[in-house]
Amino acid sequence: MLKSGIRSGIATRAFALQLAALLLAGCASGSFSNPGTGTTSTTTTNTNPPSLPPLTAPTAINNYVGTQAPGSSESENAVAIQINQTAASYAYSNISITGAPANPVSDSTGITRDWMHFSAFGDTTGVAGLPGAQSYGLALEEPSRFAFYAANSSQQIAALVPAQTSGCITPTAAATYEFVTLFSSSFNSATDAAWGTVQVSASGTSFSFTGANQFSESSIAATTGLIPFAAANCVQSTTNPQLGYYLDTPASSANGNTEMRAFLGPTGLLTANLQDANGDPLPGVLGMVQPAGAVSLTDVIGPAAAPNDYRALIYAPANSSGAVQYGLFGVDTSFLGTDSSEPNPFTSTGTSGMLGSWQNMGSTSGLTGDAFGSGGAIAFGTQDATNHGLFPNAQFLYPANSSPCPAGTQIFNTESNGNPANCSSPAVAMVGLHDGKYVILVTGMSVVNSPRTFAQSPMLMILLQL
Amino acid sequence: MRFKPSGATPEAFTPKLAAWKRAGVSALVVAAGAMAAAGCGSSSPSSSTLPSDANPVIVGTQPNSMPAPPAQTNVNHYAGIEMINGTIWSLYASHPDQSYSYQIRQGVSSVGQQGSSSAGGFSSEGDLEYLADTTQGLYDFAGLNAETPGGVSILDPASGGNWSYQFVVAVPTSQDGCLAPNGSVGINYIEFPSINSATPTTDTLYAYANLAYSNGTFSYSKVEQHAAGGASASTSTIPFANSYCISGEAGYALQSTPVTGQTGSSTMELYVGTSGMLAGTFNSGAPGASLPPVNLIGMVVPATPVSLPAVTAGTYKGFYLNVGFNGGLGDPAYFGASSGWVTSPVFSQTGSSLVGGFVDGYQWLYSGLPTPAVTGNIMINFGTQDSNHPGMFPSATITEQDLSNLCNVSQQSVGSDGNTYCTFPVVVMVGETYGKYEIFIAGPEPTVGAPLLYALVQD
Repeated sequence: MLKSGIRSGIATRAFALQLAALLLAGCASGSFSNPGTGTTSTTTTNTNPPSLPPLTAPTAINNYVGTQAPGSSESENAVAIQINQTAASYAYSNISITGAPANPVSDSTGITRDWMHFSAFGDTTGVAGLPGAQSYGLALEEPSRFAFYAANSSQQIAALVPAQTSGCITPTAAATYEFVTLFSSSFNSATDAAWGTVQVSASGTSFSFTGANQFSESSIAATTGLIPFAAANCVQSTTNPQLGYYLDTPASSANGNTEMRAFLGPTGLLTANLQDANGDPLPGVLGMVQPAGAVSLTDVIGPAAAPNDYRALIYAPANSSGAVQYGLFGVDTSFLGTDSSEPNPFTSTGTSGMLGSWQNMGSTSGLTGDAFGSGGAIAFGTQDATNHGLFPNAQFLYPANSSPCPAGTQIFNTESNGNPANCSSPAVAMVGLHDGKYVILVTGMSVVNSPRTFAQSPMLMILLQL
Repeated sequence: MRFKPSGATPEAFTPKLAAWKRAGVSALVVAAGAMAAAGCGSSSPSSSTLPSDANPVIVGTQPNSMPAPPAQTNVNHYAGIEMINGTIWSLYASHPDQSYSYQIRQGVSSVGQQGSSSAGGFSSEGDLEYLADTTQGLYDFAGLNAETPGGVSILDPASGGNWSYQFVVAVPTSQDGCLAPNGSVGINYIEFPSINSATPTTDTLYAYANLAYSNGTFSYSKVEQHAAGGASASTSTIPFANSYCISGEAGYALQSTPVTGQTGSSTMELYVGTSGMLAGTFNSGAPGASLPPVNLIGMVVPATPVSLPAVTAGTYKGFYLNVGFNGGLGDPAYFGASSGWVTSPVFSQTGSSLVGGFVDGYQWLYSGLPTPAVTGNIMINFGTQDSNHPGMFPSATITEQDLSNLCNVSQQSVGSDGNTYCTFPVVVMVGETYGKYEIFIAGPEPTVGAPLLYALVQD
């Protein structure tokens, strides 16, 4: 049974009706009544995979809904964010669901400004007890498509899609979705589900999640923390209208009495939160529809003359200097602010990957310095033959700093004297194309802490093409 | 994808030298070709070289009037003068997307901190615009602003999260050229000295002059310059010399030819705002002598006297500044007993007075969420308006607490709270832009022993 409130009813609109409403009202709540005066982009139509309806033009004002784990030992919760690019403002709020824990991130409204290619939130409500606009986290937004938000260095990353006001985004055909779990510090990396694949299909307002394969960070079959994929219905809550229309998988004994609320965005980005009867620490879900064909890493990385740049939010709960970090990725060292004199590990090994430079959420010193000292890199490895965009043998890279690679890692490349240059640990990467922008999700075990103590932590990276 | 916020790009002012040619300029536009002989265009006010380039001049369409102010907008570029230091600033404030930017452009004095800049967002705090920088950090405090959009802006800047400058009086710039009267108009001025070395009995405190424009030359007539108390001024006098349109540091400005005076040669740079407000500065000493500048606030004389009851019925916010107090930094000030700002007034406000006070800037900043509250232990009595110069109140007084007992006994009194107060003369200049009054008050402050300046805009 739903614990989130009284279910008002199952949406009965057929897809055609829903599409008509979307065309009239726009996908995002708020954008219809007040579209603002911002410059709108060229309308992009039907760049979605064939399993999804055509896209409508993005708008400048969007209401997003999604999930954000509030703490290390509590259930996932639901949050809403409005981002108004015309007024350069935002509103962040917890969606108070019966039985869900209180959100440790206070509700906030304020202004937004560009900060190192992120949207920096500045609270103006005085929630911190200080006057004026005060820094309140960083967001990444692809207007009318999805958004990610990191409030501070300790709270998990929120993943959101536009709230649906007239019905769920309804796939037109079955498709495979690749997903990662939004784990917390209580994550059991040996056995809990870290990533996987699942088939999603819909018939009217009935959705099905079938054929799920769920793996741990070691890419062995997960035995705990499994996502309770099952049949779902498109519903709307009267008690929590901010949720909009979402895919509800009711709690049942078959799925461990865990309810899943999934929010499907127009480009096939799926985010879900879980809630069980016991308030157990449950992960969230962040998935993407599988690309229609194999992904070209050349396209993902971009041409040498004009490589693609990526913004990243990173969550590694065992990182003592800050679980959440933000940074930039790519192969353009000038964009990353990195030391271009460092040997590129991908050139010397003939592999494909991207360099990264990141820092703690609270740091505003700028992403300068050595990518291999203050950041790291990701190597993609070989793409899965069946699941387009999935790179099950990806690796996190970090500098060896003239030391042997510690247990659990391996030498990725060596210096001219034969010493390890970079060590690596296994990860899984998945690449999706969303309205012309690549989104890359990487999950795995990595070495963390600065200065590095070689502590191992599960790490999730969310990369969004600039 | 990034949607561009509405409004103009928050960039520093860029003079559009050819913009005067385009259609749509409502006022008569005169390219001052005839002034080629005199020249125009130098951006160095202290230079004795006359301008050499022709810059566009926009002349009022009605006889003896300035170009009509444009319709009020909430996206504006301003040019301003930092009081005391005399540095020239550009300021941009956009309300639709709550963004701002400002930059020190240059000053006539070597003490100017050239190049400092800030940009970010602003929000309302304590009924002022709280500026938060996002170029150096994430929402670092960058100052406060009191603004009548398109009318005048009083910027109290900060740097590195803390107060760092005196406040800046800024006027909206014309993007298309210098503004000029069709014939001549009267201007009221208040002068504020740069350092605590003023000579109140002889320095100009306020002035009147008619500004005329003809054939590329701005000229002055009917000049009166008064020291505190109304006597004719003989030092730190405003160099009302022929002036020319230049593309100045922060926009189109009027630059005077050098005038040799008691302390050397002086050149004035004056920004004439589209709202009829003016801000200017001039070096009071010889060029290169590093003598400090003297700063001006001006307004086009209104056609009719200002309604004092209407003025005193309003509530005002802005800043207080004294060269000898609080390091010369501006402090938030609130006036008007009809507001909720005045908590326990010592004085009863009348139809010819305002009661209020100011808050220490550091206290305002570091005491949690500021609430605009002042005791109400300062009273401004406007006195009589100068019938020949509407908007000027040369016999005004301020009554305030004499904490250090510095005031002459004959000026002291005991307030309703039992404290000793001092009443002393000041001059008040009242302007009106877009239905809102602006109040500027200047004069020697005996309770501190140095000149004061209030700059207030109606809430």
